[in-house]
Amino acid sequence: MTVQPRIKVPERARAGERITIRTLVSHPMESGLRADQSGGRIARRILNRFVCSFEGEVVLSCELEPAMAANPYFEFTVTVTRSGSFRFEWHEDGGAVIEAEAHIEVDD
Amino acid sequence: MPENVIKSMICTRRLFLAAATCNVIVTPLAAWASSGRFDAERELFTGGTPEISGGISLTIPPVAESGYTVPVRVLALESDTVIRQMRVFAPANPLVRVATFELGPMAQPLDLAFRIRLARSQTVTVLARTQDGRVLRADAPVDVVTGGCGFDLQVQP
Repeated sequence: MTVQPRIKVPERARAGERITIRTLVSHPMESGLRADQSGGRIARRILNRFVCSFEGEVVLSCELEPAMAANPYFEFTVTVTRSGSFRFEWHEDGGAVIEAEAHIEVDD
Repeated sequence: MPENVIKSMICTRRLFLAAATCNVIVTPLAAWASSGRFDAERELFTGGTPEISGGISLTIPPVAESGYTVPVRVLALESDTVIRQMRVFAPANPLVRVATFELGPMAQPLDLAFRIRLARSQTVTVLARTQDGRVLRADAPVDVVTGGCGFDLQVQP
């Protein structure tokens, strides 16, 4: 998939600091409840799961329903204690996965 | 006045009254049905644990120009509150459940923002399960000017 997620993670932080992570990914989040021009149902195609993990530990995960807005955006605070990489995954209906990573340097 | 015109007037009046009566009955029925779905969905999350108002805040602009993308923010009000799971409900949407979050230790204390779709004006609810087993609740009424498109069709049971 060619979708390029946009991620904002600070490059550096102090140990114990609360940082803000922002993620945005372009996706129509087709709800499966819309009609096409001939009155038929447009098949559901949404990102149904979002996971943010840090060095293998889940920070935040979300099961998304069709009522999540198109181009899903998440902003959340995270307490960091050591350097490492955040990993982000979006799982689409049908099994496709969009992935991204961001590294943070944490000073003691 | 010719008889057929009077007849058609009566017919219209009858139809109008019938329609008006239907409306009076159907509107509360729809509300009742939606509150039934909402109660069932909440029960699924709480498993019977009583809901406690407070402990978390739910912030949504009181008027949403477009229901297509409505910003939502959820905050833990006390820094020692550890929220493990959280679910968002839109009782007047075709699908009541909006999203379910699982939160690890690094995401505490919770401060989370995202965007949802609302089909019409309603009160959005958030339930959060804490590490010590409590269920916290917060509500926010939203007036939706233009309903979130993307919900043309009814949900098939």
